[in-house]
Amino acid sequence: MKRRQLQLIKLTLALFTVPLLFVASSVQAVDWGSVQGKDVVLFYPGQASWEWALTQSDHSGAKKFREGKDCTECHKQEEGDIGAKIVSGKKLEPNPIAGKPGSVTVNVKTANDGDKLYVHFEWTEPASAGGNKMDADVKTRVTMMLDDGHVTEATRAGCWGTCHDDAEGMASAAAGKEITKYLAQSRIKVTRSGGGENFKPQAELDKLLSDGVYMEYWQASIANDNSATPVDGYILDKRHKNDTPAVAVQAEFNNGKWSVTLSRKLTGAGAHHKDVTAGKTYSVGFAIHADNVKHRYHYVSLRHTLALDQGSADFVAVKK
Amino acid sequence: MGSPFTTSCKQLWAFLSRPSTRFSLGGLFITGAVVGILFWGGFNWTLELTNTEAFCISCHEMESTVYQEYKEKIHYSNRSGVKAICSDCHVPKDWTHKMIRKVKASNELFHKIIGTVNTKEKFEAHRLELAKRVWATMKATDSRECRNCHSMAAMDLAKQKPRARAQHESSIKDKETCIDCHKGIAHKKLQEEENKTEPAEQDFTL
Repeated sequence: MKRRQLQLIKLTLALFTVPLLFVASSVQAVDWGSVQGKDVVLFYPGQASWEWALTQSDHSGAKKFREGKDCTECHKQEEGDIGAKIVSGKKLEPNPIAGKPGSVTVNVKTANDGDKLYVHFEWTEPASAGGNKMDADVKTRVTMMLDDGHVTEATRAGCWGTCHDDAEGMASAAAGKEITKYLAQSRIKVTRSGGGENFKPQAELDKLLSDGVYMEYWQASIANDNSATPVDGYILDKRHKNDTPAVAVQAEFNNGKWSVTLSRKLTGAGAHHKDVTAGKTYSVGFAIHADNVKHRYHYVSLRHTLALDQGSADFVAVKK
Repeated sequence: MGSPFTTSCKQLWAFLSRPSTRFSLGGLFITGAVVGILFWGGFNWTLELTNTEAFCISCHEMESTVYQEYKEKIHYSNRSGVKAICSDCHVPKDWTHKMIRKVKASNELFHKIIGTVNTKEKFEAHRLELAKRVWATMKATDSRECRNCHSMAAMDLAKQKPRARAQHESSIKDKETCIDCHKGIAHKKLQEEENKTEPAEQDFTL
């Protein structure tokens, strides 16, 4: 091979490798050992949709929720019990998966370095239920949803406002329709079985989007070989995936334990990314799709709060 | 000349109002007291028989329905062995309210006779109506019968499970009464039926 060709190959490799190293090192920039974390129990939610939660004859807490009580006021510290009950098929799960654990406890840490927000997850891989893999390629997904107060449901119930009864795999899902997560505000009308496809006019949806009425999501999509790919987007009329994610991800799996970090610029991350600034409280929710599952077969958290540098939120991302 | 009945009444009155020539005042007084005690005791003993579990379930309408449900619940069997029977929850303890309840219970005897709920189908058809009546009475009395045994002031909230603690704290703050949340604690839970009053069209946006 000619010398010039060798030089070109080296230059090309360097051009691709250096940014990757930079990204990887920037995700690893925080010394997580020095950050105080909190254990969050993510539980299996079955077919507990937004509509289910708001219907008194299905969910005895619906009336109190409508009157202003939030999910955590009754359900904090019950996540493990809820997950165990649902995963067993006793409630909200017509097709229980034998051997699937009902919950997984994740230690969550947050931090910032003045430029980026980092969210770090550590957990022990839950027991595999075996059987057929729903997603042949993706072993695990770690997702966080974030809102800055524009989505009322998020301030009360975290991610739950995006989970509707007619989404794929849910109780009112229609055959042949692939409805993803969405917010009720994107529909003209929502009934007990969901909002279907009666979307508001595009102009109204555009206005909602520009007004900040959407849920942002960050995700680490981890393949069977444990390599992690960043995914991000927003949820309004459906789940939209950004072509170029602003989120960076890093994942490690050692001796049955996961360590995953999601990060993104605090501000100016681009369209459909909410600025994270001091003095505000953000609503966040976490989800893990373990064991090659898809759709609703994930483990989810109740609503948690996040603040930058200081505040009385569940997670305060201090500067490191 | 009056009727035989009038004559008998007059004779009886004459007998009762005539001072005794044979018995002493003290003897009459003590005898009267003893008879009164026996009568009152007998009255209350008989009344309390109608408060026993055996009496309540002597009606098959109760024994085959709500009693079977109650046997699966915590007021029938629990860790500490403190059992509440039918009358503990459905009959007031204080004398005045108890008497009023017993007079009202004659309505239940009437419906027993005419067989209003004498089959499971009839009972189920009336169940919600009957339950709502009981709930309304308990609500109106600030769950008086619950408070015969349970006291909010005596509750050690720190020893309760987180959900129970949170709900009790909330109910104290919102000035709720026991039956507001504890419907179905002793018999079949009727939430689905109670909430049939839920409007068909609901708003699912906040």
